Amino acid sequence: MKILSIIISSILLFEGVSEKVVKKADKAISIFFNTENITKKIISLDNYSKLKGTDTEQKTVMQLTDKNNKNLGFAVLSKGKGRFDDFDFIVIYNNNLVVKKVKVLKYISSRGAEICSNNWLKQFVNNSQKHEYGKNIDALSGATISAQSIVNEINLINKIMSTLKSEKAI
Amino acid sequence: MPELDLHCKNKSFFQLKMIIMKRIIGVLTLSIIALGLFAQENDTPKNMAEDLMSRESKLTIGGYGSIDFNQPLNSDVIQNGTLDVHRMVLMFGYKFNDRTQFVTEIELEHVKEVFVEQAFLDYKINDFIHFRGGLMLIPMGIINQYHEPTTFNGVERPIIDGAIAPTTWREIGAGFTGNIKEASLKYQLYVVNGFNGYNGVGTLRGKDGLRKGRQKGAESFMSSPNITARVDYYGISGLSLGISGYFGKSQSTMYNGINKNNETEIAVADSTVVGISMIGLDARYSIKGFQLRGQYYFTGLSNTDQYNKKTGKDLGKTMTGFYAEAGYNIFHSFQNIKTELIPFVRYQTLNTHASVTNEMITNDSYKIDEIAFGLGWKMSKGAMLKADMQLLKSKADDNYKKTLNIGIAIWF
Repeated sequence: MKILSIIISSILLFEGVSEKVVKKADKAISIFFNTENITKKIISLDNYSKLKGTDTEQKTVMQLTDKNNKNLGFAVLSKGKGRFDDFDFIVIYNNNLVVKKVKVLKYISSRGAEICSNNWLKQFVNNSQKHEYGKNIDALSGATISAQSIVNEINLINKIMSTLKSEKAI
Repeated sequence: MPELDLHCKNKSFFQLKMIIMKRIIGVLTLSIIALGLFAQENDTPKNMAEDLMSRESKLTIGGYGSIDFNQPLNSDVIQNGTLDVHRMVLMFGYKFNDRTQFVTEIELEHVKEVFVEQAFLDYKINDFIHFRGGLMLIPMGIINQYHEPTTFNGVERPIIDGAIAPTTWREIGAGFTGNIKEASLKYQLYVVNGFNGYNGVGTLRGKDGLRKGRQKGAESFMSSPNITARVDYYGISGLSLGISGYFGKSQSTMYNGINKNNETEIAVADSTVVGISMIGLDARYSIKGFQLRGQYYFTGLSNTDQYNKKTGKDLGKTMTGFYAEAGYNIFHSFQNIKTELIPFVRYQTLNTHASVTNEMITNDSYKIDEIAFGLGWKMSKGAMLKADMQLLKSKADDNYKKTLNIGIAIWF
């Protein structure tokens, strides 16, 4: 009976899906930098000719500063594509644009959920080379589409960040 | 359907069934495509494929197929090879909204046999638990769930997934599934209808265990519910570990119509039923270019002596199956080569008479060892050419029987 009531109350909790992802992103950023009250300034990806033709639609680049206005680094919120559903993930950079953390925030299906493994995601940390799934990024058993997608997206995000740097936007 | 009767008077029942099946598939495919188009909010005319595949699209289409060539090799006797479009499967996924999804797989086996492999509704209750109901894959072992032919080495599916965990094993049921990513765990728990063990005659037998009892969602009957569960752990990078269980009694048509107080008749019906306890342990490990996998099954069957006496079958008391396989992508370290060339080697063993009840004699031909080795060339993510040699020997044989297999495998 207890399980039934938990299930019923869960069904009644209707939250906006994106809101939830933003909350999870905030939490991941706070935990990583070990600080609360981090200011996130969104950096627009429009008007850069070098980024023309790149898929910047579902990516949000944020500059992070602490409560004393000290630069902490950057975070990019992005979507990837699994077999049946899109998933949400975050890439956290330090001030030198080195990837320090990748975390999957929301993954709906079970198929391909192996990309959520924090240990597997560690391969992207401190790694600025172009990633190739199955080559310099170890393959995953049971996740093909989602794994290839997150690799592609991270490559793209790294390229976007270095473009923003060369354009002196960050 | 009177219109069909007139035209098809002279056609056999089989041909009639095929015509009806083809029409049903045609209508189903068209209606699902129409549903997808109707779901688009955009009015601008688009190429149908672009439409369906666009980011906001609610419809996902996929599929897999395998075309096989099998050639038994024998130095004394001429043997014909066989070529077969072994499987051609279409998958449709439809997202009604962020929480609700329907997934179906329609399969054509050997070109002529039509099956529905999956047809289930998935509802996300929260981040950790989904409700699922319909015709679902029993989560036993690697192959039954991950059976797309580009995901495993060798042309044919492993023999333990034929005789012990009878792939493609799917039944109608309902339950819960979810992914707890903080713990790197996935789980599934379903209540399903069981194997048809008796429908006037016994269906389960020593040679391939429970395989002939699969009901596949085709007007299945249920005399008692069965339960199945699986947990996957993926916390270690590249390693996937799974433990599966299946428990319950086989089903029997004999129960139908018996008065609930009639203990004698119930006892007779009970003799047409076996209890099933199956455990599976599996591991898959990808590291650098290596692909390693292992699978173990153990099945315990109860009441087999009564069952065999009643039905004249030779079901074993326990069944076991195991394989260990290693493959390596030769092109892994070559930055410029995008395709994969994967030689592999596998040792496999199964025994559907691992133990038998006292009055029975163990059948040596039910203990089979296999050595397989081969090569796969993945020309792209979803397209693969495979060739392998299977050496099979039962305990009753003197020599290994050799078969050469070559196949085309696709997945999209």
